[in-house]
Amino acid sequence: MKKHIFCLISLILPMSGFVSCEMMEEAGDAKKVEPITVSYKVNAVTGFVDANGNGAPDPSFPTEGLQVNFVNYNEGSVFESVADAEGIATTTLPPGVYTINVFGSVENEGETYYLNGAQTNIPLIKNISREEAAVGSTINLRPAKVGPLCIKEVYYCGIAPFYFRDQTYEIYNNGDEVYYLDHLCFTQLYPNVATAVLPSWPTSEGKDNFVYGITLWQFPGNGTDYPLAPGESVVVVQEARDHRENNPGSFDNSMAEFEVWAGGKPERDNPNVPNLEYVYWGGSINTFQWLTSVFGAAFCLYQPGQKLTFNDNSYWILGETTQKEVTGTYEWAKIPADKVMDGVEFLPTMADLNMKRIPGFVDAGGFSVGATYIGKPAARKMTGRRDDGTPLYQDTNNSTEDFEMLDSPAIRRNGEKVPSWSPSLHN
Amino acid sequence: MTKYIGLKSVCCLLFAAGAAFPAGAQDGDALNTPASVERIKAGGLWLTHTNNAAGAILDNASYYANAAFDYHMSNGTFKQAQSGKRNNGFGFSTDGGGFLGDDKKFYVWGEFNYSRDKIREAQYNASLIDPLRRMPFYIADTSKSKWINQGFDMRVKAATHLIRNKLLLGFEGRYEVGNGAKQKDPRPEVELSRVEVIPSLLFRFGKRHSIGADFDYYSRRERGEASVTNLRNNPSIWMMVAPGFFKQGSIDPNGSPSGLGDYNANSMGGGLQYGYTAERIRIVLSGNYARTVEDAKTADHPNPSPTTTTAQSTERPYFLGTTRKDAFDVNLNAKFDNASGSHSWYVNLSYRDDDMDGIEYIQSFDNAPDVQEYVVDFKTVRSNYTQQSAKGEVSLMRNGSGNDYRWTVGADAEYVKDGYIYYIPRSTQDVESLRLNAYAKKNFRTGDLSRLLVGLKVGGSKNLSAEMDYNGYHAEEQCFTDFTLKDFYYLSSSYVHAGASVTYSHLGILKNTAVYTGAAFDIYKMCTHKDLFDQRIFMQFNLGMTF
Repeated sequence: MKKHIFCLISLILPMSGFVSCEMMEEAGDAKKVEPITVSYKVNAVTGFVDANGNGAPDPSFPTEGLQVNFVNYNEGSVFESVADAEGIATTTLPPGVYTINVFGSVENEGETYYLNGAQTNIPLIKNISREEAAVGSTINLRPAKVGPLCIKEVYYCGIAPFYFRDQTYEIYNNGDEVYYLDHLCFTQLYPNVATAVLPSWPTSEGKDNFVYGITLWQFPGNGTDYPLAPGESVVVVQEARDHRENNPGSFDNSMAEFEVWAGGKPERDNPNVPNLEYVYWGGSINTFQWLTSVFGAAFCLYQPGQKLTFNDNSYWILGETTQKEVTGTYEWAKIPADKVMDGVEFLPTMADLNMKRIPGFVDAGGFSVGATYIGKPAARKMTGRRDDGTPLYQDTNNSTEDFEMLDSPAIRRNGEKVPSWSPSLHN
Repeated sequence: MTKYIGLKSVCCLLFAAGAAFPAGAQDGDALNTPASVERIKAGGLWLTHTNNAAGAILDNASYYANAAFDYHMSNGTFKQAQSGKRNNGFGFSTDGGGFLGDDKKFYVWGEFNYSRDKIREAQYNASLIDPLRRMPFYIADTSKSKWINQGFDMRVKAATHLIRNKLLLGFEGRYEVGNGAKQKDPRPEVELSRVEVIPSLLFRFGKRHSIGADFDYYSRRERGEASVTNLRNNPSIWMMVAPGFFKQGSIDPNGSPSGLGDYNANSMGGGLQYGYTAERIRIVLSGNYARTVEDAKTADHPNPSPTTTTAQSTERPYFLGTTRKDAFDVNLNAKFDNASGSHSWYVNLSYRDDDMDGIEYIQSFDNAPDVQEYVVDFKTVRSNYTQQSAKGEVSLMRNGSGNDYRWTVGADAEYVKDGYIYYIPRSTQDVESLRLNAYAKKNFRTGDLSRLLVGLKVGGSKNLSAEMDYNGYHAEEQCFTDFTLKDFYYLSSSYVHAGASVTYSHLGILKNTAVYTGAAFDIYKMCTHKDLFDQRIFMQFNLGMTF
């Protein structure tokens, strides 16, 4: 026994010394921080962008005047710059991990385009000259035409104690022409929860050419059955009922147009409210309910332009309409960037913007109500009203700027109109 | 607190510490009392003031042993936020030393301390058992919470006899174990351990001169894991990197990585000593240098949540930061006896210079299937902390019979300068203070077998200068206004304090043993920033024995 103890001590002491020396050597290498000057080039890209973020820039598409913010979410610092005539923004900042946010709109060929985008978790540790920026440090943005539909309000966090069956989503026509909801997919995006470690997709996917859906709920219709006029909204809920019967702190969303009922627990299906059909569900299906993360999920509106069917093997094909992570097991729906109409990303807290997990062209920012089970919705800021009294909402494709937290959930709180086909008008 | 230090290990260590005490009756003509222990320690210049255990032989200290239980409490608002407002606890401590063997040539000294403390209404600490140990990388939260801390540490020093009339070899070992648990969400359970070894040697030249050297190495680990029991809340936290510089976050009910901390410190250093011994004069001049590096990392989460409704903790460990500290000190300790030996003067002068860099990392996650780890891309020194202090202390002791003293008076003055820089954006904080203290103790002989030791002390701290220039990004946030700024006001405050202590000893109840009981009271009263702080009192009661 004594011999064993002696041997152990003989081993531990020199090993401790080695570990100690290595630690001291590594710590000894650290030098005092110095500021660096970095340039970043903003490109408008309309074609395919490869996995390294390289795409063929469209030199005719202007980027001058776009706001370029270098945001260090860990430190809470923002260094602002503006893209010049060559599309290059320059600033001086301390080394760190930055999210480079670009936002603004440009006029091109008589039309207005949003050029919103972000590159997250970019380590900036040395000077980057304008010349280096032009060939390497670039951010490629996909111009997005201003669309009519927007996700206007999302109530996702639930209310204490642990009540989440009242999750509610309101989609609004913020434009000036009728939009037909037929075939539109209300989509929850992958990953389910915010993470600083983004999924690793096959390199053939490129970068930010697609977003990936967990669950796709498709509106019914044959093309013109579900018009949504300007100023009208459609309400989609997990379960349509007066939830105050279950939880006095909740609210009544029984007037919703659609439920997203997953097929199990028939007592949770309100027969007076039609159900959207899920046409894709990646991973394991929870038929009890469609519960999105109370910490905040990400959503988009996706128009595939056709009726989709769950488990249709002739449509859902790996590599074409679905994709797996490099090390993943599950397949997720693969949604082309140009088919995304609007998207919004919710996060556990506003300090978690460095965990943003969907591309900037879907949502250049992120939003959070800050905590779970507090009964507060995230709602788009109202900027004014039309002549008919219906509201106009802020939509810069940046939810950090566009959304605010309100005190309690409500349906059509600002006088949004009910579509003529709504079951709530006919029940 | 759900985890307790094993009784078995405590007993083993108690036995080990006790083994350091030499057996057999003491050779003095009087029994040791608490005053005797004080005098023996004051005269043990090598043992008390250096890390060179070999020098204990030159101290030629008398045998003593002391063991005591104590109950202590503190209360008041003159405190740092992490300290707790109303604290109490109890402890057991024992120490003793003497020459071993038939020819009494080997010296052995040992110490064992156990304490268990309740720290109430502590704020801005969800990571560390000792949040005031100048570790800038930790998790802070706002909830006023109780911490329950307990731990023990034991030290052993041993010195050989004089080899070839020139060389002495010494060794000091120290082992410390502790744990702490915060009682409100987020509620980390933290465990620490520390092992230190200090081999030393000393050359003696003639009867008067000696030169010594020691090598000091320690390893310290502190690891904590936070949990949330009230699942209705995910409490807000701040991941601190420096005063006024932090990132806000939250801990989810499954314990996110930000709620976990894994601190690993290694320190290497050494010291040189010179000693002079004459008939009535003893002087020890010593200097020490140590470099301490401490990595602060998150720890792997043992049970990532399978649920899809919560933020899962799948992240691998990553650096919160590293501290790199260089500490240097020089000390002059002397004892002068008058011709008759009735009075002794003690002089202790010291200068200390600590310089600590706060290293921050830029890390990225290598998502390659065979790696799946955070890798360090870049590291820089983002902050620096300095502390210089110069202290002078002089005391006069009227020696009594045996190892006792009749009375002692003393005073000390200390100049302390604390500095802090965060390089980008440049923010600085500088505080200079002068502290003065004076004390007097009288050891009354209340009977043939009883003593009453009464002490009084007064003092204060005068702030000489204080300046904060904050250019960070969180000037409006609670963690800055209520914590960083308030802490600066605390550090730059002026105060006065006074204290009294009384210890009654009775000798002979047990053979060769003095049993004592005592009480001490101290009060600290603010002179500045009275709108933020008032006063703080400390009380201690103890019951022990010396032999």
